[in-house]
Amino acid sequence: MKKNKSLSGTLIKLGTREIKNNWKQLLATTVIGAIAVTLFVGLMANAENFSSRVNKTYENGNMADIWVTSKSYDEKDEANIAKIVGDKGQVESRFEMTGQAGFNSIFAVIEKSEPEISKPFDLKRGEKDTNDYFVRIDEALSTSSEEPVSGKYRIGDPFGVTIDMSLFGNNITLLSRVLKLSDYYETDKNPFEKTSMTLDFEVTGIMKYPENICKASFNNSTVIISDKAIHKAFNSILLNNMKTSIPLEERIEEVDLIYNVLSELGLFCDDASYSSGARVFAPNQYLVSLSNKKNASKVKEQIETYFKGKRANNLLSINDRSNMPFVVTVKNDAEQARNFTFLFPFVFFFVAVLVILTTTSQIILKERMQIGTLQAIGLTGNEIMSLYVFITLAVVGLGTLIGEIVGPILVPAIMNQKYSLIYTLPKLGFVFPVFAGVMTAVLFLLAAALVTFYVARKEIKLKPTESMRPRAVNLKSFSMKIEPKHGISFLSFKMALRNMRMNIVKSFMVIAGVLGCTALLVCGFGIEDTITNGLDHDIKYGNAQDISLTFGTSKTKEELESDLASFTGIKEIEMFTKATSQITFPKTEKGSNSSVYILGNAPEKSHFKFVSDLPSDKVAISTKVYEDIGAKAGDSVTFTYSNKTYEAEVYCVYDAFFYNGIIVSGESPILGEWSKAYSGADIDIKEGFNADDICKSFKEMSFVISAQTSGDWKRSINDIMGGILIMTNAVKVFAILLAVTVLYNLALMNFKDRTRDIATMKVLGFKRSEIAFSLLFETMTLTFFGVIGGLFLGIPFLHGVLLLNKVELIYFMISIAPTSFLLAFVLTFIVSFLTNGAFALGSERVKMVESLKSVE
Amino acid sequence: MKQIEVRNLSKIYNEGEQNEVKALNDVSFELEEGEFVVILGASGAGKSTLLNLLGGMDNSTRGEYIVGGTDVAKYSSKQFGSFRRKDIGFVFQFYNLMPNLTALENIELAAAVADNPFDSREILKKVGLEKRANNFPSQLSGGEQQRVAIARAIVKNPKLLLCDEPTGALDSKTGASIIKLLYDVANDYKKTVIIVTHNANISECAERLIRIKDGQIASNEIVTNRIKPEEVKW
Repeated sequence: MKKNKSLSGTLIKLGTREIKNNWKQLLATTVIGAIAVTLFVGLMANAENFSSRVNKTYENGNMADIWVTSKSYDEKDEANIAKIVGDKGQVESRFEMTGQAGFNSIFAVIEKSEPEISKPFDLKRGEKDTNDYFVRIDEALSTSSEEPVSGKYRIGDPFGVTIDMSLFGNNITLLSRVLKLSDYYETDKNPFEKTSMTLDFEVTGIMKYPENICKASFNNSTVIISDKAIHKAFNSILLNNMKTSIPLEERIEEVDLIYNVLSELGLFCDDASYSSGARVFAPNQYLVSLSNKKNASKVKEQIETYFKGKRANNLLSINDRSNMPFVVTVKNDAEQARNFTFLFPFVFFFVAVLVILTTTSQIILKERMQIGTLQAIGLTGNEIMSLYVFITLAVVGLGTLIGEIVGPILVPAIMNQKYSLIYTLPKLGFVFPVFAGVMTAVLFLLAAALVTFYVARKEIKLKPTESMRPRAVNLKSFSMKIEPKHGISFLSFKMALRNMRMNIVKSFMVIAGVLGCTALLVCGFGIEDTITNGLDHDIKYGNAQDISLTFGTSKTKEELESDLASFTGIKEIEMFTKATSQITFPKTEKGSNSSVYILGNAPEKSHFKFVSDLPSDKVAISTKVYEDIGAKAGDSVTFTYSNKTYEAEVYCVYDAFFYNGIIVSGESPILGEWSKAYSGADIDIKEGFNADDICKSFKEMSFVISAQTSGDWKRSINDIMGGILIMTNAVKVFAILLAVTVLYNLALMNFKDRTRDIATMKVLGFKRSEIAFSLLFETMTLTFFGVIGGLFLGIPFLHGVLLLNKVELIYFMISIAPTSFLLAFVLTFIVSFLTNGAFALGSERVKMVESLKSVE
Repeated sequence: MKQIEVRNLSKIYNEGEQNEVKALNDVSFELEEGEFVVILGASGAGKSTLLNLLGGMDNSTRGEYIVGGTDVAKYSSKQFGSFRRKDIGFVFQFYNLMPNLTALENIELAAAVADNPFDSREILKKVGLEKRANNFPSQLSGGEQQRVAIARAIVKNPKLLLCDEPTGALDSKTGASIIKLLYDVANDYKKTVIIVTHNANISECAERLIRIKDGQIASNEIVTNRIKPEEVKW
């Protein structure tokens, strides 16, 4: 006698063949497992991929670790900060200001020479770009098109940067008066007499910049300008506007005098002059780069202490990466990407476990005889259990493997559609989230093993004789008598009802599976509805005009009317300003990076109809701002506009999708004495005129940076929302995939479960339609309950998804159209009907003799 | 030498309730080692219930079932498992082969759990199916499947070979060959074989015939004019 092959080897062989022979039934388990893991690992990979690309960007540009901004220049500051940093890193200084480039709000960074900290990378340099002469724009401001694109620039394009004169402080009025007295400028050409000054440049390079990886239209772009370029632009504006009748030398002397005054005011460096190559703007920001990033908070603290110890503390702000707004915004998006991982995939994970539960329990039930026989042969419960656990693990493991491979490739590629619209990031690479990947596989396989254990345990616990007998039916029969008048349909109906009751767990699983699919569909449609309704809402209240204009330099209404005097077809002009603003609620010390809307008309007559009854001495804030800062009607908030901070009482909170921010009337006393020069205008055209034609004419005017019809506006918003809609469509596709998988699995099981019934019914002479009715009645009834539950569950699900997927500057006014509920209902129902119907009609293929044969 | 002692063994379903069923009522008998026993009874007489109790496949309600001096009736579920693994070979009416294992693998499966099994291929040869080793059950005839089932039972080298209506699903000719196989196997390997059947012809080749009726032993006799299976008129 000799020991034969090992039991485990034979069981593996048996398990493998079970899988092969039941592949149709087990396919759903693999597919659903693959989908769940694809989503889970894929979204994790996406989060890691996004973070790693952001870090790579920071690394490529050697982004600063600490930003120190001062109120006024002190020549000792840079040396003292350098002393604090010591050999732990390096320090650089620069001048930073806000400005307008066309209709784009920009951050202009003035560098003495090629920066080492927060430096441009992937730089495309033009011929004129050198290490000490450059005007580099970020990619968001650039275009690769050969044709001119409104608001976008190419290397060599003229590039005007408009700065508000408030940048020079109140003393500039004095300078203006002195210049007026000196009579060097014509009255309308004195640059310091105006509210803004436009410095003319030419784009020398296009760059990626670590401090501004966001390229969405709502975000400010960054422009890096060398001191040499600024110097040239200043010389030009100061000299060329002087009366040409004055000899050149005299004019140059006057320019030197202006430089001198500006130096005295602490704005320009002491030795700045017409011919000096020295720095023009005195630095107002110091960047610190540390070799060990962990030292940031300590160094930050030391710098703060240094400023506090000064007789005149000129520190305006000090930030490190943990609280620098642009870093935080990107970090939030990365966080959001990670959070997203824990919502959808959990639904799929839940459904996947349900599918495993259903499939395994059906296989176990089908194999009762085999289990009994194995017990009779003498296999222990654990040995039999290991067979079924092996089957489940092999099937789920295959799905997991597919998911682990496909997820990190597919999901980041889909999500990159969104990121590429918003961010300038290095090329998408392959990142495998090792920890998440391993944990997902372990947890998923563990869940599958536990589910199998739970299902098989009951059957394996039975005595062999019990397993080998047909399953006991513990049902009280209905008190419905079947009479000939009831017909066969009634009998089918009764059988279906009994089946549901007999397989209560399976029935519950069908309901739960369908419920999950419907909830996902409701969520997918709901996101789309929310976006569409938001757009419609904002078009109704914020874009009632026919055309919107944005100017290169701000204009008063009178100036604009005179510019447009020759235009026919204009019905009404409303001046309008939209600018970025920091809105703060002092009580909570919370702030919101948003927009300020200054209305040219009185609120009740404005095109901007969000708050028609806004009193002129109050402001209105949007719900998004309210959620950010917590201020409500009656509270006092502050907001910034054109380098000034204003304080005002909130009149009300208004709902807006895109037009989030703070609304203030142009006539409001809150703004004090201001120029009433607006950055744009809303135009209504007379009947019979074509908005597109007029818009085209506006675009040809030199002072118009952009002219958009309401249709153009909707299209540009749709572009911004494109990323979200891609995700929405992905959700819908996955929901339908899920529905097909779950329902296919359940339909197949139901069909297999009832093969003998079908064969018997055929023998008894049932028609194909009658058999189909019996099968369909059962699944469609369960589908109905699942769909109803899913319609309700979809609502909180949508809220959760949008909460986790907040988009900067956009507020989701959640709404689900009745048609969406109807569509989710119909889609799930149709998928269920088609899947089950296909099987039900397949009863024709059931062979009576084979199906009714005894166990073999 | 006594191998089995069954004393007052009963199996009662729903005891004390209105629908009480006495499937086996106070059954007692003894079997010698190596005996070829036929338990004869009509359908519903309780013969399969008795066989299930003897095979450790079900618990008795009361009574003793002593195998080698140990009362198996008092075994826990785990002990029953071990009892089936080491001491019992079971042959079913409908063969109950693993449909996804070949003939040889079905036998190897049983061999793998036994302490001291025979060689699977040798046993397959013994039942005359060495050429069908790699065939799946669905590729075998009923008789061949039952041969594999017998091989699977015997390969474990069990103390008892229990056969529940082994010819019930077969035609008379094939049935006869199966009984002959069991007869030969019992002789060759010196195994105690218990065959439960309603086919009286089979009892002609038995050493001991136990008749069972309404859950009770109707008779228990040594067959004096025992004939060989091939001489039985089916």
